[in-house]
Amino acid sequence: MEVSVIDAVELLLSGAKIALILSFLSIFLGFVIGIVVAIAESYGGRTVRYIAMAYENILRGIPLLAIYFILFFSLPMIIHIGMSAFLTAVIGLGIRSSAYQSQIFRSGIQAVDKGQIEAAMSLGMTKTQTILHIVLPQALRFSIPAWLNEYAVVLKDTSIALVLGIVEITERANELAQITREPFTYYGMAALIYLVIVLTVVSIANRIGKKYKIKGVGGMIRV
Amino acid sequence: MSEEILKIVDLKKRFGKNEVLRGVSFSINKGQTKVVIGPSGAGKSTMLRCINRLVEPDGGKIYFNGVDITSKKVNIMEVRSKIGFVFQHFNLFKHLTALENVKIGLKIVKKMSDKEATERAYKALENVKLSDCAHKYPAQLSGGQQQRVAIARALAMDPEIILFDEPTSALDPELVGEVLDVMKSLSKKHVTMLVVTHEIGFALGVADEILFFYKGIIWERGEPNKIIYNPQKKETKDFLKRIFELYSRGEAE
Amino acid sequence: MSTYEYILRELSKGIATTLELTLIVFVGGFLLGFILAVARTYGIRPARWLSIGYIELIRGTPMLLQLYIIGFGVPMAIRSYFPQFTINPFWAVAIGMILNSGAYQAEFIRGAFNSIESGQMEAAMALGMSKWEIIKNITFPQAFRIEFPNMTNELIYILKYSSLAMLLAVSEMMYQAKSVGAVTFMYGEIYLMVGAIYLVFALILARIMNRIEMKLYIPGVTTRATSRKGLLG
Repeated sequence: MEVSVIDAVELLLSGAKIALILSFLSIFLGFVIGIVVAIAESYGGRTVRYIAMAYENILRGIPLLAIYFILFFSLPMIIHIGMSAFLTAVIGLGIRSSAYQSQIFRSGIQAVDKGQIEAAMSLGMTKTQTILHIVLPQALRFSIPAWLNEYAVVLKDTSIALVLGIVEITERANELAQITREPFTYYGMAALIYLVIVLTVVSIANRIGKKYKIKGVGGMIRV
Repeated sequence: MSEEILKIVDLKKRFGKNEVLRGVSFSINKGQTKVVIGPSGAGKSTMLRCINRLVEPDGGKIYFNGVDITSKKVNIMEVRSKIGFVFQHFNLFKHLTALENVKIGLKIVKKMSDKEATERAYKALENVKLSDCAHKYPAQLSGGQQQRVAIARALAMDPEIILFDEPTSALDPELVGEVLDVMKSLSKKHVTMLVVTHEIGFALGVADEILFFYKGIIWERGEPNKIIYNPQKKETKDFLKRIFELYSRGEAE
Repeated sequence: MSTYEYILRELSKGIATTLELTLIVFVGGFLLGFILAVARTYGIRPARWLSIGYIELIRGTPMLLQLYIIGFGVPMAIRSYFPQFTINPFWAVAIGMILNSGAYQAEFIRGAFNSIESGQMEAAMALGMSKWEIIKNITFPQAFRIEFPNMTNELIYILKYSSLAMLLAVSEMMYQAKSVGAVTFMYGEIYLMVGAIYLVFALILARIMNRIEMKLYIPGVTTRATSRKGLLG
């Protein structure tokens, strides 16, 4: 069956839009939770640390597919709230990303030398003030390269949301390939779209990074 | 009679089986400069860190302006804001400019307005002759400049006493002078200072008393001329001999 | 037999497939990765460009897309010449995942190559070793040890992403979970159980790899940092 190129491109791009939105929402959710977990694991008391570690390990140990299905099928069983497919996708990808982001931020936190923490405390700062004003600004800058890599991972894994019925790029490409019997054209275009998005995001980030760069803190990202 | 800013009584600290401080006692009055010398690892740094409780002592008492700050009831952060600390490795905040490094304590701990903090910070930087480096980051400054910023950071808080932990040990030799000059000028302005250092010249120049620290206690103490040129105890003599051949006169025999 | 027992029995039919797939892909990916890394680091110019291009292409696109290409796209294209062509989905997934894992492992291995100081290479050449001998006796033993932690991560990744095979009708654990769910309608419980099984396997694998890592320890080459808490990388 024939499909006009224009229609095909339009369909693929609408899929791309969904993938982008999904990836931004998920990475943001992952960021917020990730920082909390990273701080809990680096500075918390024993119980808090163990809970944070358990959270990280569980979400890194099970497949994203399983997380999706558990959120979609098992959760309503327990708390009697059902979520839409899109919400499930965002939350599922978001919490999984948070487990990886927390590790990234933890490394960043470790990379801030302890002497500065001593200095902050000897000025009279509280633990909270030290974390907020001295540790985090540097830890986050150190984390930028790894974090951008995580974004690329999140963007690629938006493809898995198709099991929840969300029609993003890969699923669209699939449909088009089946209909037109021209797999390589459409899979190829899908691949191209992913590559372009990642390259664009990284170069924008690089430009922003250059503006806020501080000599001696944090690394640049090579495209 | 000069007020007693700091009084240490029988300070004790152990790390595991290692008794690092075995009963240190001394006091410092307002405007005095006291210098602590002694072999490495004798516990001098630990003692300084006990004073602002970055390290918790195991025994003894510390009186700051008459108040026992070893008690749990004390708001240690408030106390710390009144005790300046200059570290061997500077410990500047790497993500902040020199000016911001000096300002941050004023804004967050002393809760000053941005305007007031900036004014104070500039004054402190002038004091250490670094006003033109205000907007540079630590990575762009030499070791000597970084340490002077660190001193400005401590000074700006208007502390009652400044503790110096081997402030020049991590510096290249040609940069040591600029830092010592700043410290000498502070001493002459009657800033109360407790300095741990190997720089005997500095001690001879401005110290009111030298404390020789050995095996966890103050082994010998006295006026700089007496201690350096006429030490009484064998260990003091041995240490000074090791530190320099130049100055030691009451030795060789 | 209770429903739970039935569910567990059906799920365990998928375990063997999952583990087979994981192992095959891990080993295959390592071999491919090694070749790519050698091409990229020591190869002649065209080999280097091909290697870089391949790696960037694979790492820049989703694994699922790649699996679809190998599992649907390629067979479809072949069928226009050989209409009878079919491929066992297991092998389609295996090939697709090997092609993917190879690109990632190539980067780990390349990192390991680079971390071995060139001084050692010089010394080996001065002794008269050929390029191949150097790779085999000097580079490989050190590179392997240095990159072992990253390989542990990759192994667990593969275990998790093997679940994508369900979308290509391979009856590994996830597929089994779905099919037994279709029969019993107890999706909620089933997916929790499957998640738990994956977690247990991941932890066991991590433990095993950690043990091996400790046995491989050479002072100065690897760090004894295997006491780090995050077992799952």
